[in-house]
Amino acid sequence: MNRAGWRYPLALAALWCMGSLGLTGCWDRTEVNDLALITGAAIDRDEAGRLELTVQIFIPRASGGGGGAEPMSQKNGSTGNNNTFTRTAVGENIADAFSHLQGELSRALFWGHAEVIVFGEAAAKSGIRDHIDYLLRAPQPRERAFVYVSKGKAQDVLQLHSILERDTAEVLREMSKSKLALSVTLAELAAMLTDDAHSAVLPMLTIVPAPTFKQMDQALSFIDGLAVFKDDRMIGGTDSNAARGVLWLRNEIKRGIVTVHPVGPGSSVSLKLLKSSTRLIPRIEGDTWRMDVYIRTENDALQNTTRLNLTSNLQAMKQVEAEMNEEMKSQIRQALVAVQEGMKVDIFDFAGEFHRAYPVAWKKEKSRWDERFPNVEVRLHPNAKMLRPGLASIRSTVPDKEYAK
Amino acid sequence: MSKDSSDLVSPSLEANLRALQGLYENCADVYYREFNMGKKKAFVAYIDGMVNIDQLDQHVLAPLMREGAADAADDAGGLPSILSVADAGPIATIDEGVSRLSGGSVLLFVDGAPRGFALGLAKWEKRSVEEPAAESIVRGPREGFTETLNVNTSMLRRKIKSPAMKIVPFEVGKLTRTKVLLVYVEGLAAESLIREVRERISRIDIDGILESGYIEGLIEDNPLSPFPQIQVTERPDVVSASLLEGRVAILVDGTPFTLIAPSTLFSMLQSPEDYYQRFMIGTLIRWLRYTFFLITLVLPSLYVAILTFHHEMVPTSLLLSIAKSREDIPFPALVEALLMEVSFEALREAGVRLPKQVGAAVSIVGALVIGQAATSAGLVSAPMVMVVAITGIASFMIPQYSTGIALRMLRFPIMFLAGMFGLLGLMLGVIAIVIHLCSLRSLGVPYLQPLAPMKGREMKDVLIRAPVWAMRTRPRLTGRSEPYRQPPGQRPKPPKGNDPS
Amino acid sequence: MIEKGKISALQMALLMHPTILSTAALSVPAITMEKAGTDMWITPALSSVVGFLTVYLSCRLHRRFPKETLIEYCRSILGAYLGKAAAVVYLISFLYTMGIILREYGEFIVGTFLVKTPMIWVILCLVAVCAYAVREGLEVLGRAAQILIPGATFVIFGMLVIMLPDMHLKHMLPILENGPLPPLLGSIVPMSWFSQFIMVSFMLPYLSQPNKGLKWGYISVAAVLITLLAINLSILLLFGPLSKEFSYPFLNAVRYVALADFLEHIESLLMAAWLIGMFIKVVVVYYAAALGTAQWLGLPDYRPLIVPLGFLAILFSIWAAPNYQALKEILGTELPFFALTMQVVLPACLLGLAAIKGGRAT
Repeated sequence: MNRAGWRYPLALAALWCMGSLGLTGCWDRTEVNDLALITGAAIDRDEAGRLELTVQIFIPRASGGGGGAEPMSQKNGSTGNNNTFTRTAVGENIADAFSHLQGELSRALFWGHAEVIVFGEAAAKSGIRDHIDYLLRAPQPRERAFVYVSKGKAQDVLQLHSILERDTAEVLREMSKSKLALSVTLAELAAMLTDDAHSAVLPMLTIVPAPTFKQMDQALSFIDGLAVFKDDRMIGGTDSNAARGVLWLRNEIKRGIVTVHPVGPGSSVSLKLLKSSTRLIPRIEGDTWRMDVYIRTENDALQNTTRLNLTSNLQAMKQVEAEMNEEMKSQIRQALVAVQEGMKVDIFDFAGEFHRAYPVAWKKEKSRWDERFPNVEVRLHPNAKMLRPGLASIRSTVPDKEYAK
Repeated sequence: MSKDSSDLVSPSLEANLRALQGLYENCADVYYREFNMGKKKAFVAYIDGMVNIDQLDQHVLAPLMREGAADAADDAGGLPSILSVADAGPIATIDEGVSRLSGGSVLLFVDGAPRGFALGLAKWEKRSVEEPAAESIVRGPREGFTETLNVNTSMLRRKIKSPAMKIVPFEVGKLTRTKVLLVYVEGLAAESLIREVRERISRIDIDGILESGYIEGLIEDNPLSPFPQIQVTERPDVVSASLLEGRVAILVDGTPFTLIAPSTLFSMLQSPEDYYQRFMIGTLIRWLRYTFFLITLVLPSLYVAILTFHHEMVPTSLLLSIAKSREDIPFPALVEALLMEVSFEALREAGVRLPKQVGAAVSIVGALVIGQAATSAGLVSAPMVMVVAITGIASFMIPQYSTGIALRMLRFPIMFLAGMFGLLGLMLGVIAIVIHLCSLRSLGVPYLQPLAPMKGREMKDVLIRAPVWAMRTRPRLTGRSEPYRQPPGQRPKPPKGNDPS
Repeated sequence: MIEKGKISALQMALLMHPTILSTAALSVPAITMEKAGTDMWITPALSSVVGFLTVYLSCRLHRRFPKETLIEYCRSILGAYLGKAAAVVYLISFLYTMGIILREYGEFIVGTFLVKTPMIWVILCLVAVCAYAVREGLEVLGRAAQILIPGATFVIFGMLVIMLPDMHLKHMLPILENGPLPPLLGSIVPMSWFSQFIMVSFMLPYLSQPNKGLKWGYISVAAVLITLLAINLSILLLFGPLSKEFSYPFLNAVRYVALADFLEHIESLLMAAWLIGMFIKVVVVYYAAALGTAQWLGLPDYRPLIVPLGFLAILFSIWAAPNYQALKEILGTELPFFALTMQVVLPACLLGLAAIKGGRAT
């Protein structure tokens, strides 16, 4: 009894000592007040071949409006938008530039909420593997950050203003999440660079200039086309039509509106894409490697300017579906022409499909894939379904005689 | 108790009077009334304020002073037969007399009689039965225990009428000589449990017991634990329900608070109303309570940990708005949290202690000062105020007041740990508390009983509140005398069909 | 008997589950991925054979010496001197194992969450809590496991469910591309984890229903197998060949998780759940070391040994390896053979000897 009696206070005293010793440390404690939250980062290459790291930083004080002194230096950032400002530093690699950047700021830079990473065209063309290394190795940056390539300088994208969203990084993130265009996360990019095809594809950003000089803050950027990477270097881009084809092939189209012309130019039917799935079936017959692409889509009619009666005419629906198949085929063909024949880069992961289906043949052909890929025959089997004609069909009330023509 | 000759009631009236006066020297509240009973002399002794004087006059003094009463007093047993008093028993020793006297009885001594008599005419000012203030409910009986022991036992007896409910008396405290009652239902409470409780109460050697808290502190299993191991209630229905589960209750004279043992953490988290309301609501409320139990313990620490260590865990827009509100706060999050929690505790304590009229003023001042002024002065951030408020509300959701206090106390060390190591420290603190809870026992019953050690059948009263007809078995505490509460097939099944539509 | 408490067979199974899993879930996927490639998800199934074998050996030995732990029947089988010597090797191996575990834990926490905190503090705090738990005895450990483990498992499986939308089945294919050899080689390392089931021999004597020990031992191995399979598969399906580039693939997988915009970046939650597992793991080994040492020395109580053994384990954790790479190297090369010898081969020999001698409990 007595022994236990003094042992307990002793243990408590020991705990107390440990606790107070521990409190003197608080090694990793960082208050939010001491953080500079990075919302987005841009990576550029200047003329001398050095790396420029630009970060967009959230200004916590700015929210109330007024008051806060605005950083107005023209060279290093400053946007009219009160919420964020951007800052650029030059260095040998990201870590180096980052340390320079940190040296200029009073608060600790924090990557944990950087959801957007933009590569400038020049940086992308000179290779991105070294940058990816930092972004995956350091514990703070997120694997789920979205990655883009911008036409021209990437820092320009971050310096834009945002009207609808909190900041431009948020604009890009929301656009990627809507899945209307290609969205690639950092982890997906890293996976693309390490898989069989050794190629990657990233969404390409274009800046639309402001309509007038007075409305400076209305310039915006949007995803327009794709940047295609061979190994880790960007070798070219596609326009937005071909980009759509690439999305069909990569099974990444989840939403969208397709407009087709079933009765010739002049009138059209627009369809809303509800669901789409693409299956790639590789076949090896003798020396010909072939890829069968099966695409199934489900759609609703959205607008009809033709004279077809979609509500009651089954034949008309078939016609629209056939036309939609043709439209898909043409988009994919464009993509194939640009990527498979033009750039000769396997961004559709055909390599992986062959590897999985024919592991033995793949092992032999692996080293010669770059020569093999442009010659892979692609057969398209689109299968569009129109599920519903929409709520009402005003067109069907057009007098019959007009129909008769 | 010495039984030497001097202690015995003497046939001589003088000797008895002197003995009593000697014991109660300088006790102004003890009254002696000498009178003549025919030829014989007699006296009554009583304590002022504890005796019903009217009855003493009408039913004792009046018949005794009448002619002929003296004859009845000749044979010692005959005296009560002429007194219209229900409780009139002989006393053989002065010591016995003293204990009856201090209990409110009137002592009657007649010259020449070898024994005195104790007449139970006790009556003192007592509080009437009221609704218990600390445990209010919406549906259920509104009566609560009072400070008077026999009122309390009567309330229990009215609920459990079977003679199987036993009430065993003890007298504890050398000076207070407080009456302590051990109540149990024979056949439901395990023999070993009753033996253990009897032994623990008998072992108590103390000068005085003023509240059941004294008993609790002297019989609990681990006195160094922050958690209460014995449930306290002032509701007779809660005590009755516990008795029916095979627990025992300890009633202490002079306090409405009754001890129930053994009790588990889960019994502390149950309100009687869980059983009175429909079972689905009972289940939901229970889960709400479990959730807020955790919130009381960890919410401020979690806030501190996330805000100083794991900034990435907060969704971006939320972090940005927290960053905005924290921008002008001069304190680190830990200090801010400590400041707020301590002032909240002070406010709560002040609210309890102050007279009711001032209490309202305190809460207004507290709400204004802490809620409004502190945030607008930029001393404390608004999210922090919210965290503290939620924690405060959560701590009041726990029905057992002492358990709530334990949690409120433990959240401070966890806050320090969270301030040192973030979530890691928080988890280490929680793990240490879980180990401690696992090591606790309440009169031999593991504190986390149906969960660890796992007792699948008893989960029906912990994870859910099963419908009454489904609760067929009693919780198994130390032994199991009578496992079944009711026969199967009690689920109501009204006949269907043939209804006039 | 030093230990007076009793635990149920379920509690034993619950204690063993994180004892194997908590460190295995962290580093094993990356280590096996190097050897087995995309077939790494098969490796837990192959290596669990060792787990079943170890449980079987322990239970057979337990049946011969129903009241004795591993340390005690070493002596009963091998005789006073040889037995004591074997027991001492076991005790040192437990301390070493504990040191390695603590180091893995420290490396993980300091490498990912508390970058600036000195590792010794992180380890010390865990050891302090563990020491408190071990002091309270086996019964309390069993109960604590019953409360903590379901919660932690729930968190882990919840994370796996959230990962589902990001998984791609194609990463698994082609199965057995390079024949069965890579997965076989890859399963050697996880074997050393499964062989830690030898720890049941410190719990079997204290079971309230000793005949259920074997059954629940097997159930525990199966549970570990399923959990490890689920974790390996989810990592593989999430990242594919990229998995081998990560130090802690499961951590990266959890970092990648996102649900409805607000449940993002929840790796700290993983750390919390994992800490529970780590705690149980350290406590089980700590308990075995303390109890075994007390039995070896013939002490009436193991509690005085807790603090010195804790300090020794902390020292071992510092000496174990100079840096993380070296630690990974040890885990991948030396430890499997060491563990398999100590925890499978030696008990098998003990059982064989006991069978030959016809030895029964005295």
